[in-house]
Amino acid sequence: MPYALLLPALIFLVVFTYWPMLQVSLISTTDARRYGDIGGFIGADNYVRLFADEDFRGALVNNALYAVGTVVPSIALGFWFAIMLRRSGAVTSFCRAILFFPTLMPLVAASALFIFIFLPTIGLADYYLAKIGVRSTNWLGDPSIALWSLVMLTVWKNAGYYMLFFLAGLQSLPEDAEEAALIEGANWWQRQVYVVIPMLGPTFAFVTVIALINAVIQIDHVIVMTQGGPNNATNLLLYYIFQEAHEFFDLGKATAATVVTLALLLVLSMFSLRTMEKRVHYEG
Amino acid sequence: MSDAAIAAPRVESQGYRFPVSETIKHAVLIIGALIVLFPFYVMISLSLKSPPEILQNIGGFFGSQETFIDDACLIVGGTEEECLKNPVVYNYTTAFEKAPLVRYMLNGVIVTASIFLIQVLIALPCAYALAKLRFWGREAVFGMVLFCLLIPVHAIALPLYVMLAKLGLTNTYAALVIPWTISVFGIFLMRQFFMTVPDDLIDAARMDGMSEYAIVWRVMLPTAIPALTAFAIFSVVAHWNDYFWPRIVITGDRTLFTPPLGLREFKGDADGDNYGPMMATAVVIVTPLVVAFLLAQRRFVEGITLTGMK
Repeated sequence: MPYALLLPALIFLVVFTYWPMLQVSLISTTDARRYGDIGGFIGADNYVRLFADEDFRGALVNNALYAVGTVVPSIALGFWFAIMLRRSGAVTSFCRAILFFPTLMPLVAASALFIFIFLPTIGLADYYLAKIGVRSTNWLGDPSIALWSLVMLTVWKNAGYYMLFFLAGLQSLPEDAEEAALIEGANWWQRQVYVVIPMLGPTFAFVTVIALINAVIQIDHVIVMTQGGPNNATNLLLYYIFQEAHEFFDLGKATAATVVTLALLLVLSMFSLRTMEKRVHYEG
Repeated sequence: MSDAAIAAPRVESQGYRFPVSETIKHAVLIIGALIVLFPFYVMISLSLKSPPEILQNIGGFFGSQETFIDDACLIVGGTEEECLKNPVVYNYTTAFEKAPLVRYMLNGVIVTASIFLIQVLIALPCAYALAKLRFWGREAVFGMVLFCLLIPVHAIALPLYVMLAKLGLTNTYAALVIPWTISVFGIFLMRQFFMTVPDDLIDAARMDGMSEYAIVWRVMLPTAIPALTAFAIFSVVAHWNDYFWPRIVITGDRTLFTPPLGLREFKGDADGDNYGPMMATAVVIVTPLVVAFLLAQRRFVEGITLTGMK
C-alpha cells in the first residue's frame, strides 16, 4: 500500500528528472548536433571542446562571481530583516510584506524596470547619484560593472524571499537557550552571534542551497537586459547552455555544460548542507 | 511554536537597554524597506506619466496628467485632435491593446492553477507515506526525492523540451504545465509538516476503517491547509512569473503566452514612448500576486513555520 501512494511521485520523478538527466549525460558523449539526432559515441570530446571554449570558461567565472555576489549579501540581508522583524505586530507584518514584494514581481518585469533605472545619464540611478556629485555610470554597458548591476537587481529581488525562511526558523527556535544567554549577561549582538545563528544552522544550509540554485537558474534578467554582454561579461552558465542549444545548435557542448553545471551545483549544495548542519551538533 | 511566540518578545525587549544599537538596527531596516520599495514607486509612477515626462524625469510621482500627442497615432493618419491622449488612459489602454493581456492573464491562471493542483495530487500521498508509514526502502525513496531538490528543472530543460517536441506537445498548455507537475519542494515541505501531525489522529482514522488514501485526502489534507497555503504561494509566484520555460516551449502561438511573455511585446522598442505602457503591463501582472499575498500573508509565515523548516 505505501508503494501505491509513492508511485505517482516516483514515476514523475523518473520521467521528468532522472530520465532527462541520464539523457543529458548520454548525449554529452556523442556528436549529436541537434535535437533528435542519434550521434555516435565520441567519449569526452565535447568536454574537451567545452573547456577549450573561452566563452564557457568566462561563463564559469562570471557565474562564480555572480553566485558569491548574490548569495552572501541576500542571505545576510534576509537574516537581518528576519531578526529585526521577529516579533509579530502590525508594523512588523507590514514591513515583512513590503520586503517580500520584490519576490512577487516577475524577473522580466524587474529587468525592464531596472533597464530604465540603469540608463546612463538619464536613468534614475544616475539622476539621483548626480545630485550627490557622482559621475554618470554605464551600468549595463561597461564590462567591469554590468555583472554587478545584475547582482544588485538579484539581491533586491531575493533578500525578502530568504527572510521568510529565517522568520519561520526563528519562530521554531526553543527560547531557553537565548534566555540562558541573557541571564549570563550576553548582549543582543552576542546572543545573535553565539546562540541564534548557530541554532539556525539548518535554515542557513537550506537557504544557501536555494540561493545557489537561484544563482544558476535565474537568467531572465540576462536574456532581457544584457544578452550575456557586453563582451560576454554577464554570460552565465544557463544562458551559455541556452545559446549553445537553441542558437548555435551544438547539442554536445550544451549537454556537456549542463552536466558540469549540475555537478558543480550538487557538490556545492552537499558541501553547504554538510558544513552548516554540522555546526549545530557542535553548538546546539 | 506557541511557546516561542510568547517568549520571543520577552527576550527581545531586553535589547532596548542598548539605544544606540537599537537606532542603528531600525535605521538599517527603514533604509532597506525604502530601497526595496523604490523600484515599485518607479514602476507605478512610469505607468502614470506621458513619454516626455518619462524621458525628462519630470512631473513627480503622478505626472502632470496633461494630454500629449501620440506620434504613432499621427503616423497612421489620425488627426491631431484624435491623437491627443491622457497619459494614464493611454498607458493602460495600450497595455491591453498592444498585447492581448486579458488572454495572457487567463493563460497564467489556467497554467498556475493546473500546476498547483497536480502538484498537490502527486505530492500529498508521497509526503504522507514518507512521513507516517514504515516500509522497506523508505530511506532510499526519501534520498531519491531529496536528491531531486538539488536538480533544478531549468538545468534539464533541454531533454524535457526534446521529450515534449517528440510528443508534439510544444505550443500547448500541456508543455507549460507537465514538467512542473512534480514538486520535490512540495513533497519535502508537506512531509516536514505531516511529521508534526500526531499518530493518534491517523490510528483513529484507521480504526474507523478508512483506507490510507482516504486518510490522505480526508484527514491529512484538512490539517495541512496552512502549509498548503505557504506552498501555494511559492508555486503560484514561481510559475506566474516564469519567463524562461514558456519562452522555450511556446514559440509561435501568441494565444498561449503567459503574462511575463506579454512584457516581451514591448521589448526591443524600449524607448520612452513604450515605457508607460510597458510599466502599466507590469503593474497589471504584479497586482494579482500582491493582493493574493496580502490576503494569505498571515497564514503564509505560519504555514512555513508549521513545517518545522529550520
